[in-house]
Amino acid sequence: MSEYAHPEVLVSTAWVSEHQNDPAVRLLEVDYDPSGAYELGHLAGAALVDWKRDINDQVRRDVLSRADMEQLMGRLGVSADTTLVLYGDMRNWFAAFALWTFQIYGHGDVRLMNGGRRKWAEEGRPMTEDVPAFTPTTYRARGADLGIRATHQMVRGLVGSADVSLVDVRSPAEYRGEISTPAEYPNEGAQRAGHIPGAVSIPWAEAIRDDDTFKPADELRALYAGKGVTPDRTVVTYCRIGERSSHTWFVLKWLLGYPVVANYDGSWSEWGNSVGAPIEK
Amino acid sequence: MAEPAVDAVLDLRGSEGDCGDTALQLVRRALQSVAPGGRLRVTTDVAEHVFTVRAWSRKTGRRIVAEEAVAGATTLTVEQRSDA
Repeated sequence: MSEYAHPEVLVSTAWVSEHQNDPAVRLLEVDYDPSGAYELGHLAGAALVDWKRDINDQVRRDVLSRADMEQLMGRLGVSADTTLVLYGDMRNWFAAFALWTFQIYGHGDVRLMNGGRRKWAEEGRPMTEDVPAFTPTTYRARGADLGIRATHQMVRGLVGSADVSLVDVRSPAEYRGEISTPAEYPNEGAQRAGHIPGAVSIPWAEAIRDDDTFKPADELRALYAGKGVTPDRTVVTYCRIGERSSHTWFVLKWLLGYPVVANYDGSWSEWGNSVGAPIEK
Repeated sequence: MAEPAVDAVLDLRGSEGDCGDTALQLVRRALQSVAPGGRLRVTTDVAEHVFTVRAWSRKTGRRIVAEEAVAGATTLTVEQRSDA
């Protein structure tokens, strides 16, 4: 069995358990709904990163700004050489999104806890409601690395290109245009349903095992190559708002080491609302 | 053992696959239709959900009146608050 291309970006729950008091490591729980996760219990020593509040710009639709990144890392007591270990609710989607965001701003050592909150709970490991306090730091982020982020315009330009793979990680029903947006997420709605022309359907969950940990490298490689998504191509992942697709982006970029992989965070909630954007069903 | 009488049931198995409601959002919604003192039976095969339902019930003044694990699934019976 072959190893992941970058095994250092993934840590096990056991590794985290052994490093909960390591001052060089900062555990961050990234939640979509902290009231249903972090606030009920979290790993000892873990700080909360609220996806909506901390990772997103509070006015326009965008990831946090460089200044907000510096403020967030400073508040969390993070330095440039801190090892960030992320995990979270909702199957680790938002933790993967945060990892992608922190890499946009150049944080050097950021890792994902394999299996996330679900795996930790499955193993009966302890949780606490204690909220840790950190001495604030002055954090300097790097300029944004836009090589791992795809915009609407970029994707429009890539549609139909022979050496590009667009990977739609939503459910097959979303891909086929049978459903657009669940009623409970009206702010993620789209006027039109379907998928970006030429995109292949590889639902995000095909990359994980029953316990939410990632499948072995060989299986992942076969999964994506079997759909024509190979390392020699420019790859763009998307879903509805860019969080499930950041999970797949992580697989392709870091576990399989594909050289050119970008996450389109505008995703279907942007594409399906854009006048004139081509759609396939 | 006879299961306690309930007013609503919620099966969380297979939820959270496609970016819809979280388990707790589903529990909260199901409890909206349960009168004060009434009971909701929640079934899940995910330990994280068991933790969540227990912790949320405790923090919000609801009681877990029964809990049973059978064949990989756990069933919790949540009693609605008397002032809900």
